[in-house]
Amino acid sequence: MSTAIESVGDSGSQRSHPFDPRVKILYLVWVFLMVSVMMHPLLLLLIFLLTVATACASGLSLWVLVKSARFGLFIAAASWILWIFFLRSQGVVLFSVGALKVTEPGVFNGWSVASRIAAILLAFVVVFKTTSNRKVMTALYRLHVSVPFAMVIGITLRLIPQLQAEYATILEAQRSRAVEFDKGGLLARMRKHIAYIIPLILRALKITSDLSLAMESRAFDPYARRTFSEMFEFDSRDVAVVIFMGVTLLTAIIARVSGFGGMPAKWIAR
Amino acid sequence: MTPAIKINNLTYSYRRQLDRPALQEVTLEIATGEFVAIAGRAGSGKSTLCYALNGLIPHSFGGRMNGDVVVCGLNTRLTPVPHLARHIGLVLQNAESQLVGLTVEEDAAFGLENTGLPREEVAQRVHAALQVMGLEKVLHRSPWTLSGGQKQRLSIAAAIALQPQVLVLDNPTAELDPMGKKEVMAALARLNSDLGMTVVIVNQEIEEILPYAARLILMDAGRIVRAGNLVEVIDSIDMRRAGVKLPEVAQAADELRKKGCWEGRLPLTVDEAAKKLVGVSPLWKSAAHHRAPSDAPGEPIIQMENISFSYPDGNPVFSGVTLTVKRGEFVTLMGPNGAGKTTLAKHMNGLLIPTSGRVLIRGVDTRTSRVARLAKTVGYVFQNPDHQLFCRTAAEELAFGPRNLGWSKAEVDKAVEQGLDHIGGQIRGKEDPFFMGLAERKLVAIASILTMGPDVLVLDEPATGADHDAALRIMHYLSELHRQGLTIIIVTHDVSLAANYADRIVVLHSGSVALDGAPNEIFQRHEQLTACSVAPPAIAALAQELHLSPFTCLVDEFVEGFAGTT
Repeated sequence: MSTAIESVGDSGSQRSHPFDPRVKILYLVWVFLMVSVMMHPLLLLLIFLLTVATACASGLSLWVLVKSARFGLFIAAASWILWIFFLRSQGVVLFSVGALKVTEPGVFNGWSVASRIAAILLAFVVVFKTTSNRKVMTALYRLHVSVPFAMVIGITLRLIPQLQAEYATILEAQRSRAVEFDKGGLLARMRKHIAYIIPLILRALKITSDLSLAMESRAFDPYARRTFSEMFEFDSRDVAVVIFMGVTLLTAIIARVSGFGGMPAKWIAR
Repeated sequence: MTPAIKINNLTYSYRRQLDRPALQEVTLEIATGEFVAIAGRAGSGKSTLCYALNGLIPHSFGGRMNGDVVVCGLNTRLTPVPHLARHIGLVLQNAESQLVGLTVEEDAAFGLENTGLPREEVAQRVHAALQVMGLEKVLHRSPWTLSGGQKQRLSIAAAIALQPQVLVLDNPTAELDPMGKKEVMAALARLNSDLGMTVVIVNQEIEEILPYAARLILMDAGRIVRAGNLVEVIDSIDMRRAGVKLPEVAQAADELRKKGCWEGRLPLTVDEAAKKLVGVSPLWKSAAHHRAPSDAPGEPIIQMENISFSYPDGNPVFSGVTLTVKRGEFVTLMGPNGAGKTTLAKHMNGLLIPTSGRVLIRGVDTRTSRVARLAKTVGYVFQNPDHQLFCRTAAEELAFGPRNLGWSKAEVDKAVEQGLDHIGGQIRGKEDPFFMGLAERKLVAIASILTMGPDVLVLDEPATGADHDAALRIMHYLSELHRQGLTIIIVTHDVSLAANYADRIVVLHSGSVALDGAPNEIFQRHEQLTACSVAPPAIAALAQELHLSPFTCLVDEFVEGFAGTT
C-alpha cells in the first residue's frame, strides 16, 4: 500500500518553496476570487496563464502537475466540449467538425468554465504539493482560521493518499472476483461500482476512527493551546506578492462593478 | 512504591452492547518498571483494557464503566485523555493508521506540539525519542517510505517523546516481518531496561516476548483468567483454555510430557530444551513416515519466465524471476517486507503484468488475457477481507464471483451451496459478513473466491491478525482444500505455518528468488535464511541444535521421534 502512497503524498515531492505558507493560502483564495469575479474569456486566459506560470516556477515537474490534476483537467476539458455541443446553434460559426458546428459562444463560454476549473485546480496542486501538511495547518492557524477547521483540512490532506491506496487495493480485490467495471450497460456498470464504494466507505470510517484514537492518545485537544514548531515570517517578497494580489483583486472588483470584465454580449449564451 | 497501574474491579460495556461487558471484574496491579505481556483470543478484552488504561475508555468510547483505573496516581475517569497522554503512551497495531505527519520529525513532534511545550523543548525531545528508536537518520523522510518495523518504531517514538512513565502497546508486531518484530521488541527492551519505563504489551506470539516479559496475563471473555510469572502461566492449563499458542519448544515438551518422556517444567527457549534432550538425541528416530505423503505435483499451472517488474516511478521490485508452480502443490512465498512477495503473487492472476518476461497461466500469457478470465483459473484472496466483502449476506458474497463470470442461476446456486457447506452451512449464508469475527470474514472471503472454481488459490497472509484458534481453522480449511486437489500459494511471514502446511517454500530477497525447496531442506539453511531476514521455526532450530538426522521442522515429528527414548 505504501508504494501507492509514496507517489502521492511523499514529502519528497513537497519541494521547499520560497514563499510564506500564508501567502500560498492567500494565493489560492486570490485565484478563486479572481476567476469568480472576472467573466471575460481573455481575462480568464490571463489568470489561467498566470497560474500556469506559477506552476512552472514552483519547480514541480510537468508529470507531477498533470498526474495530480488529471481528474480535474479531464472535467475541465469535458465541460468545454459540452458547452461547445450545447451552444452549437448559437452565434457565429467558427468551423464545423462533421455535423457539429463550433460556435463563438460555445467556445468562449466553455473556455470560461474550463479555465476557471483548471486555474483553481493548478493553484491547489501547486500550493499543496509545495507545502507540507503541517505548514498548511500552521498557516491556517496564523490566518486565524478556527483550530478544528484547520485540523480537518490537515487531516483530510493526510488521508487523501491513504484512501487512494485503499481504493486501488479494493479495485484489485474486486477485479480478482471477475468484476469488469468497463463492461455491460450503464445500469449494470453503475451497480458494479457498489463493489468498491461500500468497502471504501467502510475502510475510510475505520481509518479515520483509528487515526482519531491515535491523535487523542497523543494528547490532541482541538481547543487547547498548541505549539507550532514551524517558524515563518513575511519577507519583502511575500509582502510584494500580497500587495499585488490585493491591488489586482480590488481593481477587478471595481472594474466589474463599473461594467468591465464581463462576458461580451455576442458570446453570452441564450 | 506506588504501582504504575492499579485497576480495581473494572467492568466495562461498549455503548451499543451494554448487556455484553467487554471487561468483567478486572483487578490488576502493575509495578513501576515492569515488562508485562497480555495474551488471549480475539474478543477476550485485551484491546479494551488498553483503551481503559489511557482513558479512551470511558472518555472517547462512552459506554458503561464500573470500577477504577489509576495510572501513575491519576484516576482515568477524572483525568482528560490529553493529560493522561503525558503519563501513558498508547501504540496501536496498525502503524500506518497512527501516522499523522508527513515527515518522521513532524510525526514525532505532533504529541509534543499538542501539549504546548516551548518550541526548543519540542525539538530536543523529538530528537531524543528518535535517537532512542534509532530513527535519527531518517528525520526528514516521509513515514510512508519507511519499513514496517521503522513505522512502528516511529509510533513508539511519538509516544515516548511525551516522556510517559508507562507505555502500552496493542499487538504492535502483528503486521511486521520477523526483522521488524525483532527491531520493535529490542527497542521496547531498551526503554524498559535503560529508561525504567513500564511496558505493557498485548501480543499473541508468546515466543516473541519470552526474552523480555517477566509477567504474563491471560484474558478470556473479558476476565483475567491467570496472571503470574511467565514460566508458571505458560505451564498452566489456562494457556490452552485461553486459546493462546504455546511457544513451539514448550509445545513439544508438553507433548513429550504427556507421553511420559519429559519431566519438570516446560522449557521456554531452544537452549533450555536442548540441554535437557541432548543426552537422548542420539536415540531420536525419524517419524517422517507418519506424514501423509502428498501426491506428486502434476503439470505446470503457473509459469513465470524470467520476469521483472518495476513500478511506474521506475522503482524495481524484482528482476529475472523464474518460477513454476505445478498442479497440486502447496507453496509459501516468504521473505522480508518489501521483498516483492505480494507483487509477485499479483502476477499470478494478471493483476500486475511483468515489465519484462512473461507469465503463463495454464499456457495463457497474462499479457493477452483479462483478469476476469484468469480468475476462473487463479483465485486471489486479499490479506484484509474488508477490501473484498461488501454484500449483505454471506450467500450473496459467494454468488458475486460466479455471477460476474456469467454463470446461469442454477450454476451459481449450486456453487454457493457447496461454498456454504465448507464454511458452516446454509444458516451461515444468511449472516451479514460485516458482523462476523475476523476468522469468519476470512473464511467467507476465501469461499467467495472458491465458488468461481479456480484450480489455484493464492492467499496473501491468510492467518495474519487472527488468533491461534482462528488461524488453525483457516489453515485446516486450506489444508482440506489442498487435500482435495487445489493448488495453494500463500504469501506469509509465519514460518510455523509454512513448516506445517507447505510442501514447498520460496524465499524472496532483494528482488530475486533466494531459496526454493521443501520446508525440511529450507529450514536447515540457517545462514541463508538469516540473510533473507527469515528465522526458522523454534523446533527447527532445536532439531539443528540437537543434530537430529534426518532433520525435522515439525513439532509432531519431533515428538514422535523422541517417544520412548526416556
